[in-house]
Amino acid sequence: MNEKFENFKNKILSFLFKIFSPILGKQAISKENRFAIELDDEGIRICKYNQNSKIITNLHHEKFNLAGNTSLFSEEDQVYYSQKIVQILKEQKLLEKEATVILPTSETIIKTINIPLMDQETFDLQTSDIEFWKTFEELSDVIENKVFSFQPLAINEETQEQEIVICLIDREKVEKLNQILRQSGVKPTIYEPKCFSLINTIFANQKNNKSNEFAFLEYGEKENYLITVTQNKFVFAINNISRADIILIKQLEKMPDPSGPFWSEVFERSIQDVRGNLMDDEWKGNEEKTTVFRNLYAHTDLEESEKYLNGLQSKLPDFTIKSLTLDNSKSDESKFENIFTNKKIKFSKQLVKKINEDNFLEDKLHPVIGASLRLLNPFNIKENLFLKFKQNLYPYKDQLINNRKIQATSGSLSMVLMLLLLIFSTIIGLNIPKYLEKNQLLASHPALVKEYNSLMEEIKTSSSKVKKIEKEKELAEKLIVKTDNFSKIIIETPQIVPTGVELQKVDYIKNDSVVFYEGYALTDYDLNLFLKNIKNKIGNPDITNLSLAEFTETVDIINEGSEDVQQIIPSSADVLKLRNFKIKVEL
Amino acid sequence: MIKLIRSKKLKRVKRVPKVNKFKFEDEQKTLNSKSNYMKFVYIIILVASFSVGNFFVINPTIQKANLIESDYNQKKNFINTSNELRTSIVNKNKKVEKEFTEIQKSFFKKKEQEKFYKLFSELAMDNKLKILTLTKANEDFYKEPKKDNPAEFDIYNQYTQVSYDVEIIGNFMDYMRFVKDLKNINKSMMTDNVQINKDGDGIIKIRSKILINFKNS
Repeated sequence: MNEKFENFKNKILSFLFKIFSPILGKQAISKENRFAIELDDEGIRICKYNQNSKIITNLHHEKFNLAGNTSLFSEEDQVYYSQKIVQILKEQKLLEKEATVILPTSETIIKTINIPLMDQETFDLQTSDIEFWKTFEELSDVIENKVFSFQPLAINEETQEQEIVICLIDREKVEKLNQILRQSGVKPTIYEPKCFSLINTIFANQKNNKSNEFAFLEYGEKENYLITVTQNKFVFAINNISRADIILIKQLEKMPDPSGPFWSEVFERSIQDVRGNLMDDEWKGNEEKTTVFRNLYAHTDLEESEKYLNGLQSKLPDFTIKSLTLDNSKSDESKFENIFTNKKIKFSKQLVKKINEDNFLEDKLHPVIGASLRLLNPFNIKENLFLKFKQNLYPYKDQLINNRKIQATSGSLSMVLMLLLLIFSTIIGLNIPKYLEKNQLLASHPALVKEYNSLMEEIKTSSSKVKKIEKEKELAEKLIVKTDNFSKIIIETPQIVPTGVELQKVDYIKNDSVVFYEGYALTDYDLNLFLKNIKNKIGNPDITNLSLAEFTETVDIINEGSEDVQQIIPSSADVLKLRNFKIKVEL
Repeated sequence: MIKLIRSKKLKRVKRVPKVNKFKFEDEQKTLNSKSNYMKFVYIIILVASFSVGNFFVINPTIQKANLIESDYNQKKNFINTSNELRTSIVNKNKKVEKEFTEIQKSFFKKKEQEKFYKLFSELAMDNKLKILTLTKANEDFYKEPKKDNPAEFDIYNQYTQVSYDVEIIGNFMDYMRFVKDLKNINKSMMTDNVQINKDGDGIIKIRSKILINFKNS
């Protein structure tokens, strides 16, 4: 179960690494602030290439000039060496910085082996086990107590094999050097065999990838070897030149005319071990099996070597021999590979000024320039400069790469965490007041709705109550307001009846809204006045009946003391002629 | 006193050149990814918390609130301004109630019809009139023809209309005062038909039909 979980976790992690490697790799590279150092008993060479500005800012070489037979690896001398290195690094402002350390090629074992083709996961798993390497005959005897580094180069589809370049060095030696350097304020993280530093310089200086196939010859008092590089093959071959021939080669430069069979033999002997490599089928062009003209770069620790190279050129006419140089005056591209004039790798203005003033550059600085271009590159992402060989013999490189990966991941995760925290905090911070406001709105909404509804209910009830009362009131008013015309008529009547009018009957009919007056008027005048008063006070009068009526008033005379009543008949003058009327009044 | 003086032996110290010490990290130390896993977990938690908080709490709350905001504001504004409306309704209610109460006083209660008789007879007596007859002719709820169909009636059971046939004798001026008094007491009373006949000696005989509106409650 645990194993399954572990596998699952690893798959997830490798998937995540695959996705995020370019970003993490860039971050890891941007933090690399390193320089290259080459150290031997006699002196120190330093170069710093700024990866961001892509400029060489420091290029320094200094001889220790220590008296007597001193050695860097001697216990007694180490302190003095350290102090000297510290002083130089302080001056160069490179103390305690990371470094790429150049190891002498002669101290390393460089081999090319073919392993069966396998997928990346299996390859990673297998190559991490030293027992895997021990199965190869070429390595089984030499791998014990060694620090080794390997680099897959090319895949041969026909043979289903993969070519691997392996470098080995005594663990004790490199650990000792590591200790000395750390005591001297150098923090080594890459140990590179010198030959690869030189080859990488050539690679970095190439104008195009087509010229990435070449041979490289190192000769001199300390190291003699030949490397041939093609797209699919890397061959390292030791070139054994006898001490006597080295002396002769040195002497050659002082000779006025180095022609003749003697020198021809010296030239031939100096390359006899590696001539086979140069003529190898692999090294020949495919077209008509003829050797293709290629560049052969040469580098030496000898002071002068022009005549020897001329002689060598005569022995190897199929090659263009180019000497690696940093001399301004040697600008002929057919003869020299000059980094300084090539302008591919730029130097800082201060450095150019210093170089021009002191003319201090020497060819020995070539390796340190190449090494300064190296990066640890823990995520193995594509780099700006094309450096084909990335060997690292640092004994703790696995831990270092692992730690760098963890640190870069940690830094990125911290940054992401902080960034997310900042973004989220900002978003939440901006939204919180709004949220609180809206949340309060939502929380208070039901209460508000309840209050609103109860208010509406109250208003509705009150309104309906008012309406109901109003309706009741309206009804009551309707029953009350109706004017009782009759009371008006009765009240007004005494005022409208003139003295010459006597009413006999008043008839009020409510439903018809009429009132009839019946009676007598003494004169027309009285009647008219009555009509006028009616019109003014009651309504429109209409005489429905008018007739004359004569009234004879009999007078009963009662004599005193007698019970007899004597009736006196009035004369015609005593007869009253009255107007009998009936008036209809519309109310 | 004799003091013994012992000579001290001085040690020869060999001067060793100063060795620089630099603070480099331990090369063999392998860092653990645990803190990275923790950070990754923190990021997951942070993203999840943010997603939940922002997309499941804050945004939906804001959106939900936005939907009801106009309704909320409308209701709130209404509530804020409702006091005026409420006061006006209450005042109107009071006013109408007061007016209605006043109007109600103009009606005799149906249950207390005797009050009408009492008042009517007392007024007649006060004005030296003599009531000859007072006969209830009809009694019914108040009704009005319907507006849309005048043949039918809306019946209002709050009021009962009672009509009386009345015969009174007395002189005209007394009758006039009697009518005036009836008017002044302002009870819902109407005279339908009246016939006044002179009966001689200044006496008049009044035959009338009066209508009284009684309130039923």
